[in-house]
Amino acid sequence: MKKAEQSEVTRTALLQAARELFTEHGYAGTATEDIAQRAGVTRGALYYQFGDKSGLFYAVLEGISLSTNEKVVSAMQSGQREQGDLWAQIVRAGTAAYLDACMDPAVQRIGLIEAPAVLGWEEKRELDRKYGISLISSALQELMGAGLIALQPAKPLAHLVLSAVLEAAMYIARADDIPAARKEMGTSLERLLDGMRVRG
Amino acid sequence: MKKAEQSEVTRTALLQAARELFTERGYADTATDDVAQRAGVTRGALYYHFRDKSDLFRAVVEDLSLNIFTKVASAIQSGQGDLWDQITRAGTKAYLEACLDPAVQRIVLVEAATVLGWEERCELDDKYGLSLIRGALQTLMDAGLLAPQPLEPLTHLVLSVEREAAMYIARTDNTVAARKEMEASLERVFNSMRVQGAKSTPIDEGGEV
Repeated sequence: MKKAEQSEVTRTALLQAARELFTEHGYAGTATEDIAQRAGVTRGALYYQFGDKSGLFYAVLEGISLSTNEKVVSAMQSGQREQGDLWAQIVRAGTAAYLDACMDPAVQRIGLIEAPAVLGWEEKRELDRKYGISLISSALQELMGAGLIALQPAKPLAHLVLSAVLEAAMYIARADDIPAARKEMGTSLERLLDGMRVRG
Repeated sequence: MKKAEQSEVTRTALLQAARELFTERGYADTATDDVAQRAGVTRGALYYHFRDKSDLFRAVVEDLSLNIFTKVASAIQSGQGDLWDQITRAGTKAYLEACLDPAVQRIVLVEAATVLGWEERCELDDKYGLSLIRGALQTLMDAGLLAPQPLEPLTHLVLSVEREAAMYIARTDNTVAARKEMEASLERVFNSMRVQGAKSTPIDEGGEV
């Protein structure tokens, strides 16, 4: 194996091990030694790749955000290939895909519970906006173009929609009965978004 | 001055000084020494009233939150128009206005979640924002203006969009324009939740909030 390939293998193994351990024990309860051990590499390799524990956490989180984002985009696109209502394809399929992705214990613990505490609220918010705002803005523009949402500035609305969707995910992740909260919050969010649809 | 009064004056001076310094410099860059100095009291007095810097910060957040809560509740009571407008429009307007205060922006909207931690912030949310919104939504449901539905998830969604609107405004250079834009967006979101064709009467003829 070439050196660059070996480095990529190490990096992937570390990300995978970190994701598992952060999910099981949280950020504070996970030592870099344990991550290196589970990944089968030295601690030196970990520090070489990620700088420190927080650098590794940020990389895991980015991976989670990216994969969640891809799931939502692909749900919206496959929704669009099917017959039926554009509203259902974009709004229903998009929110359902996001909330379903957030049922993954790693997404819940790392992305929704630990991230605001570890990164600080500001940085967590920036990360969410980096992935969420452009996706939601373009979806809203498409809906406006189709006459399904009244014409209005897309940017402030995109921020409001994103905050509602993120809150829904946080609410579910923190509930005692997660499946019940998913159902209840899914319905509330759907109702809120459906209300925005132009009638008639 | 009686001892209890003197103690209250000291406490108020400390809260005031702390609010100013946390707003100017942020939590991390404010030392308790500076707070005591600006309040014109000893460090001992500060530690008599507050366990430590984070306890003082919490008291400042609580003070500001209570102040916002009071402003919004009173705006709803004295708002113009029908019950729907009183609650959604006057309430939102008062909230966004309160959030234009630089102290609210830096301390409540930005630093509180980081300094106090997620759990404690949720507790404060529950005490002020969530309880106010829960009551308002219940009033709207009782009046038939909002479709009957589980109250708790909707309460969280409404608080999150209100707070996002405030943060969005706090982060733009042109706060006047951003506020106008955000208020319009919020109004649209709320109006879309309203039951179509339902008749709405003002609060003094209808229920209490």
